[in-house]
This record gives sequence, structure tokens and C-alpha cells, in this order.
Amino acid sequence: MARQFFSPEAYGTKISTYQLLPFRFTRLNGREILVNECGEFLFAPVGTVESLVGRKLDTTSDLYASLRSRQFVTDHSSSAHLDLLATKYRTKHEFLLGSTKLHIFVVTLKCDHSCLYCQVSRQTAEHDEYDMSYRTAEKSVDLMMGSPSEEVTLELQGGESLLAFEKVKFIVGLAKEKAAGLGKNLQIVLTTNLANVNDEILDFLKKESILVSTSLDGPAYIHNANRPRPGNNSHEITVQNIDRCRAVLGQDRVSALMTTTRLSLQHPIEIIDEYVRLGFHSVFLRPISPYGFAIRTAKKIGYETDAFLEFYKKGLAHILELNRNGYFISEVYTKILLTKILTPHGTGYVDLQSPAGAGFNVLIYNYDGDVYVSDESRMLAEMGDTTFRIGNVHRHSRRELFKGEPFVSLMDAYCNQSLPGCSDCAFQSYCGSDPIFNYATQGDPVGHRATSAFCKRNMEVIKHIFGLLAEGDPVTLRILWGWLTNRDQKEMSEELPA
Amino acid sequence: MALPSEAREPLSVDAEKGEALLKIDSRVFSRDAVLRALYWLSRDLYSAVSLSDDQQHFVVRLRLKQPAPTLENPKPPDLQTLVAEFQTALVDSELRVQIQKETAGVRELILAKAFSEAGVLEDAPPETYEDPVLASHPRERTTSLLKILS
Repeated sequence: MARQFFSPEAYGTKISTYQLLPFRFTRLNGREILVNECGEFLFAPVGTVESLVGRKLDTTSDLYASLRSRQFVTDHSSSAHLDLLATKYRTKHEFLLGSTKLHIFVVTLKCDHSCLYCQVSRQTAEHDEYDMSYRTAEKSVDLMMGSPSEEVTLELQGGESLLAFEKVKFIVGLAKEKAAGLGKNLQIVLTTNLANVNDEILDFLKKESILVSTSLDGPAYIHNANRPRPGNNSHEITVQNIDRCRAVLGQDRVSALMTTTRLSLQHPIEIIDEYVRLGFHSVFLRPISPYGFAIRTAKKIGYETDAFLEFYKKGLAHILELNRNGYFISEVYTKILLTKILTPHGTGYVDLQSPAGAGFNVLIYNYDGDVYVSDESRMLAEMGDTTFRIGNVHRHSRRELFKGEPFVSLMDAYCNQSLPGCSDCAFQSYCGSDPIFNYATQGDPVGHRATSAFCKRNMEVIKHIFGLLAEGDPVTLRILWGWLTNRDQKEMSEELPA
Repeated sequence: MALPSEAREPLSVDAEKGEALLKIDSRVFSRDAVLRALYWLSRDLYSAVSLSDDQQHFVVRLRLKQPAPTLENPKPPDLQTLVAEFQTALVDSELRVQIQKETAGVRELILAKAFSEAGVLEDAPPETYEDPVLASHPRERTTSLLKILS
């Protein structure tokens, strides 16, 4: 006897109407990108949003099923969507839990380099009055430990931090003692140009399990031009001491950060190749910050956002090629954005958060006891503008820092959810708010998105990443997913076969 | 309300002067949508918006900020392109306004549920709002979202 299935309608009630859930959208390369409140996205044909809003979308189509499963719409057959969306939203904003985690101590303004872009008014090595006093160090550690977070990171920087090694030792000892008493997990990072490293310092770093972060701007002709010092041998010393640190501390205990200048812009490939040559597995193609000496020397090192974007795209293409050829290396900014785009999680990267990371997630304790919401706001103060100085360790409690007028007055500009231009931007959940950048470049913390370098840069970088995802090249996708799971593309090929 | 896939044609475009006059049907497009679309073009355009006497239209006057090439910017955007961009942006903006209007209540509820543990809500949101995983770790529950210790 012949048998036949009933028509599809017989197996379920036809969906006659649906309700929209919050989402945003934009157009890119002949498609629409829809992004929901929690950062989940969907590529869709142009016209999808108009059909969706006008209730003209075929509810039996695959597109509708995708929109429903990713919570862009809901109908009578959906279940528990609000609880689920709330949980996803909270997961994405986990970085808010516990408030300030990163605490940066400026132990001295002394430095033996005179970098073009240096963001502080460096002082020559004889001036001890620019070191953090023991009393200020104690008060700063107390404030740091008053943060509700159970995980705290202490970053010791300068100037050149190792020119005040005695202070470094004192702060590390005190912080460890207090953290142990309070049951907090403490991670310590030393930011240094490595020029003054010796055996005693290396033993100390090893004994105290301190991570080292140094500066490497590329091959010698770029690094030495960006980072002049007596003898013009900064590159040679840095490379030598990276090796020395690795031998004592371990390969993965030393990281390097590069700063982009006009000279660097012409050499993305050479810079990345230098990182590969020295055995690094990540590189951060960072834009220069518009603060400190960077502004004063703008004519020498200033450049347009367009030039940076070209540098970034060229660099990223080269990095992907290196991975294709078997060398695992990630680009840090792309990885941060991919984490936000492809995973349920946010990131701890303070420059791309909403509410802004400044203050909530990072505090700067200057050598003189002044407290700032970010390193950039300290640099503005060095240029004579103390707008973002929220208090002083000798005069203010943590509550007073956060409830005082300087911090509270910034709140209007802290959430991109309510900023003009950002409030309905498709990329809102991947991006952030940077009131200090807005203030430094446009004169007010809210800023103007249509002319903002921050907006243009992030918009273009995010679009570029979505372009790669839309192209869907299986090897590229494996590499990008591999960055999020720390596996090279060969390992990934078993999970994501072509 | 159904949307046209393109906004109305401009009333006049004077490419030489770098000025354009547009009439936008206020029954189709909201004030919010017009202003949002203009915001994104404010790098290149000055704009002025008014309501027609019969209140049926928004009258939008656009003027190029840089009508002629300069040494610093030898290729300024041309008016026709910007007007076309405005018309596309207007449709997208209206869609965004409608989505936001329709989903504002749900969005508020999602955020309220997500942040309810901060203890800032006067009334608990409906349905369950505790994260079952977090609830099983009593120590974690004492860490509020924005708690500030003195």
C-alpha cells in the first residue's frame, strides 16, 4: 500500500504573527548584518529587515527559522527567551563583576629613552623626586586592595619602572602580603624597556612570578628611530634582554607590545616578521594614542586613520598567510573583537568596553598619589589638563573617588548604548565608549561619531572582520577560531573540516 | 506601517551652489529618523530641518561644507552622492526607530533581569531571574555588579 506524509502544515500550527526582539542592523557588501542585544549575528539578504519589520517575512522559510533560533524574533512556539537572553547579556557583561581589576602604578617618571610617542613627561635619571614615595605606595596598595574584585592585576610601569627597582620590590612585597590576607588572586606585570635588567632583577622576577611586558616596535631601523636612547642601540638591548628574560623566566613569561608611528605604517610586514623572528606568537597592531608627546610631535609621527586602516589590513593579511604556512601567530585587536563577535563572552580589554573601562575596570596611581581613570587621562594631566584626575590616594577613599564630581560628571558619556550614533549602531555590542579619547580629540567626552577617529577605526576594523567571516574561506575561519581556542589551523581542521 | 524602499526624490539639487532641498513625508518618516540620518552625514553637510505649514512634510535643507576641492582635500564628496546616501540612511533609520519602539519594553526587561542582582530595581522582574549556576555558589552571590567598598 502506498503511503505518503501529510503536508508540512499538518505537523504544526502555522505561525501567523511574531514579535520582534531587540536587534540592530547594517549593510555590508550586498548583505545585511543583523546583531541582537547579546552580540549574536546573522548575515541576511538585503531587504530582510524591511520584510521583518513589515511582517512580510515567510514564517515557513529557513531565514525565519534562523532569525527565531538566534532570538531576533519570537512567536508562540518560542520558549523561555527572556531568561535566556538575560543570561547571555549578563555573560557578555561579566567584566563589570567586581569592578576595578587592573591597577597601574606609575612608580617613577624617570626614563633613559626619549621615545617620540612617549606618553608622559619623562624625567632624567637623576631626579628622585619623580619616584613614588613609600607612603604613597602604601596608600595606593590599600586603595587597590579595596576593590571588590577577587582577581586583581598590579601593573608596574614608568617612565622606566626598573629605574626605581627598590620601589618595585617594596610594592610587590606589600601587595602580595595584603592580597594573601584578603584572599585575593594577584597577578603582577612589570612594564619595562629591559635596558636595566640584571641578574638580581631577574632572580626577583622569577621568585615573585612576575610577568614582563616590554616594547618592541619592529626591526632595528624602526625600533631605534621610534625609541631613541644614548648609543642608539635600544633594539639590540631589547632583543638581547628578551632572550635573557626568557631563559630565566620562561618563554611565555615575556610579552612585547608595539606602537605604531608614521614610520611603522610603511612597514607592517617587516614589523610582523620581526615578531616571528623573535619567536612571538601574537602581535598587537596598535594605533598611536593621541596624548602626551604624541600630540606635541604630531607633525613628525601623526597620521590619518585611513593610513592606519591600510596598515592593519595589510598586516592582518600577512598574519593570516603566516598561519596558513604553519606558524601560529594571532593579531591581538582582531582576537579581542572576534571574542566578542563569535563567543558568548566579553573581554577585559578596557579600551573597548561599555560602560567605559576607564575607572570601572582600570585605575592609575601616579607617582605623586594622584589617581586617574586611565593612563591616557594621566597623560592629559601631564599636558596640563586634569579633567580626569578623580582624586588622590592620601585624601580620598575608594568610595569618594567614584562618587566625586570628576568621575560622576563623566557618566553621561560612559555607555555607548546611549551615545548619539552608537545607540542604534549594529556593532554596538562589539565596540565601546572612550570618553577620554573623545575629550582629547574632539573637546568633549560625548564626542561626534560622524567625525570620530575612534568610530571610524573600529567601524572599519569590525567591517573588515565581518568581511572575512562572510567570505567564509574554510582555512581563514579555522585560523580565526584557532586564535580563540589557542590551536593552530591544522588542529582546527579536525573540528572545522572544509 | 509599510515603508517605501526609497525615500522621496529631492525637490531640488543645486550642484553648483552645493545645496539641496528635500521634502520628506512626515506620515512615513519620523522626526527621529530624519535627525538620525542627518547625524551621520554631518561630517560633510550642514543641514536645517523644519515642518511644512500643513505639517505633512519635513523640509530638509542641505548644504555642502566643502563645495570646491582644496589642496588639503582635493576630492570632496559630491552633493548627488550625499543626497542618495541620505535617502538610504533615512529608510534604515526609520526601520531602526520602528524596531526600537517595538522592542523597547522587552529590552528593558532583559536588561532588568540581567542586572537584577545589582539590587538597583524597585520591583523584581517577572519570571525567575537568578542564575541557577551562580545561586549554587553562595559566596559569589555577595559580589554585586557595581558594588563599591569604601
